[in-house]
Amino acid sequence: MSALRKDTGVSAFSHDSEDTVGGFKSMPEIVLSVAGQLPFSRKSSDVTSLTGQEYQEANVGQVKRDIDLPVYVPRSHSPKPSVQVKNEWEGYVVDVGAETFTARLVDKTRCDEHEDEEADFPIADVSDDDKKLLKPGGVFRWIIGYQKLPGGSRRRFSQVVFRQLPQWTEKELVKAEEEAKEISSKIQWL
Amino acid sequence: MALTAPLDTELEVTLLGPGLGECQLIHLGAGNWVVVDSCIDSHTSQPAAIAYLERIGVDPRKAVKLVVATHWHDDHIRGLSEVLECCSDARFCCSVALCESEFVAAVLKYEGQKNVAGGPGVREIRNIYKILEERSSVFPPIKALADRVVYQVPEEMSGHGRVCRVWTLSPSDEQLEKFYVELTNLMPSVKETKRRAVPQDPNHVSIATLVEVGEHSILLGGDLEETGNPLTGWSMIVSSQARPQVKSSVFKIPHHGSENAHCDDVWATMLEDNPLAILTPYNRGVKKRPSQDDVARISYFTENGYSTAQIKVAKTKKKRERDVEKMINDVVGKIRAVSVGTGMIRLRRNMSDLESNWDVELFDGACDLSKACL
Amino acid sequence: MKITPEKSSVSIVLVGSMNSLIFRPGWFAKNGLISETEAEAAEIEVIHKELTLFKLDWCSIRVEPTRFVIDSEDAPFIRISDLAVRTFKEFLVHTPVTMLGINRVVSFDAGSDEARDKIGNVLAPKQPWGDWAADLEKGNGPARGGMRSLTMQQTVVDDGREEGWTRAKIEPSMHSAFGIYMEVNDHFQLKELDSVSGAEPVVTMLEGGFEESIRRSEWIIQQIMDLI
Repeated sequence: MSALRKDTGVSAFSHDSEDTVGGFKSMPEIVLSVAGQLPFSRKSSDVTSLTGQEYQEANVGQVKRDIDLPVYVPRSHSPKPSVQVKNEWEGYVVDVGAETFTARLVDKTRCDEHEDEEADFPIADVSDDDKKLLKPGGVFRWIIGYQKLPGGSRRRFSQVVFRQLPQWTEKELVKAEEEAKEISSKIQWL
Repeated sequence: MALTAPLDTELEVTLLGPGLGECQLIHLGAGNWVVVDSCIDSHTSQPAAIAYLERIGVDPRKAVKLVVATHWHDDHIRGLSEVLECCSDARFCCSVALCESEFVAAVLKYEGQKNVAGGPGVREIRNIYKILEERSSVFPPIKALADRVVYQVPEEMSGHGRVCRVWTLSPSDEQLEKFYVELTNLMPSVKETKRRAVPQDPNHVSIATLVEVGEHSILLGGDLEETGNPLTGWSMIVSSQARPQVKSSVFKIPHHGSENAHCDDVWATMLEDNPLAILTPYNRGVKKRPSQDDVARISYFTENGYSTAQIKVAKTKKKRERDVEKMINDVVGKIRAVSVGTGMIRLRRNMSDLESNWDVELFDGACDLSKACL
Repeated sequence: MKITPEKSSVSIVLVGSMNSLIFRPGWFAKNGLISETEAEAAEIEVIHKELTLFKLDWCSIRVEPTRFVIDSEDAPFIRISDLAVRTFKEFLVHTPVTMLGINRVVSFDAGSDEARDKIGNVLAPKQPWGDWAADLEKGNGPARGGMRSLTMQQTVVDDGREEGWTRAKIEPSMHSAFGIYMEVNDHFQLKELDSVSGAEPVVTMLEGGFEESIRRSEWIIQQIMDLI
């Protein structure tokens, strides 16, 4: 990493200790820095013009062959279809039937705050992994839009994804109980 | 709509309902108002009680003397904290179950979720606790229990010379026991995945309220259900000797007219013949209420039934792009609007005229009960 | 957003003291953070004490000795927040975490050379460069000179964070002829970095602030899109 700092002109790429810029960039030099080598691309004459984007596009496979690291051979995979989301809702389940479940919806695309819409969803649209979350109070996101397939064609898609919300911790529950006692003691009921 | 407040000598019962949620306003006389539950007015997005009072030229800050929360379900409590905040001269009354620290803890546990709301009911209750913390030394809130007077206007201050009393008729000790069992099921536990708070039926702790104004009375059923157990529900109220043994001329039908809140003995012993029976429909989910059977059953007991709105499947009014609408249709058919517009039933009676009866006015989609279902 | 991006992603970066070897797909599955199916289908690139890198169907996770990074190109983006929060709130609570970055990256098509040039000329006019301006103007299309990259920073952000900033960067995009790349880094930092003993303070910021951060970042990006 320190080798990078000595480079000039790479002001667009800031990957210092105070950096929380994530995303795609910086992978090649992270991998290479592990082995203490300069990124291969830096040897080329156009190194000072490289920006964050170009790091994203750097050939990681080529980079990895230059270093001696225990790596796993990544499985080959087809390129993923890109997705254009047209609308997103947050929903929560109010009732579960035999084939459908009813949910109240808040339109996140419109930045709504109130649950003033409702719909019935096919249970078949819920993945097997999510079915354990399909109960009253369960929270999910519903997105609809288009998928652009690698071949260029487009198709509609709809996806219901249940949120894996954090679990209640003992600390949170104890804190709520203590606060409840404090509130109850402050309110003088007749 | 006549934009005038009732006379000092007039008794008024107004039921507001948007198809989701309800609110009752009672004018006891001489500008003394009671608000029971809360919903959001679909036209103004304000709490319906505030919107109505301002519309008829009444200042809610001074006029409202008592705010009652019959229970904590979403459809009865939306906007209630804003009502309580606004009505700075009002006392607050709710079921004793909601005063206990176990329930408060449950509310805080659900409301404390940072990235997903606990639910409107939970949020409202949390805000109500905050207001009560500030106010309780000046206006201590009141626990509702069976057969308890929670508010009274002496005859010299009522405008018509009759004593006014607001009674809570529930919950009973047995109902409270059942509620605590339900609360245990609702209470989150360590390592349980966070979720929204969804109250389960049956409703064990809804308050039923009786408003006595001299020789007249009004029975407000809340969402109280009938269980068949003489120690709970309507059977308990009917058999109670500690409540006023009066027959009411107005009945706010409980639980949106559903069969599980019906009790023959209420109609036989607590209501006049052919009382005015008013209700708000429940327009959400699969089980909409009142059903055709509910309407038929209620019509057997009274010819004077009214609903604040018709049951209808209302498509959402939100406009979206055509391709989005098409995709929605492919997946779920239609997205329904939860609220179909605030309707109103207003009943007024002049207490200084011994011959007078109730005047019934229907506004904004309120209708005869026979027309409530599709 | 007014213009649908051609490429779009969100990432979360947590800066702290990490043990890269822990963060295997199997560990996530064992703790119920992802399913067994997801873990088995994970594409593992590296597992090493200096770097762990693997991809799931909907996100990729990269861990170095001082950073945990999760990013996704797939909506709903709230999933990466939920996974990061659960990881550090339920299991790695004692990991000292001092900083949080929520990053929104898009690459969108301005539609024409003229439109893209217009934005460049508004943000970085050539005229103040004096005599050099004429040389900057030389060349056609991609070969023409001009703004290469610009970063703006908001240092005071009124949302309760102890310290931090919001930085927005804009560059010509590599992905299309008339493309614009934008990256918004929303950075949250604790005041007292030396006394941090766990992940909770920072993760709580993430839990409560993720969606608002993304909404704000998209609003910033929209300001540029509105120039077209």
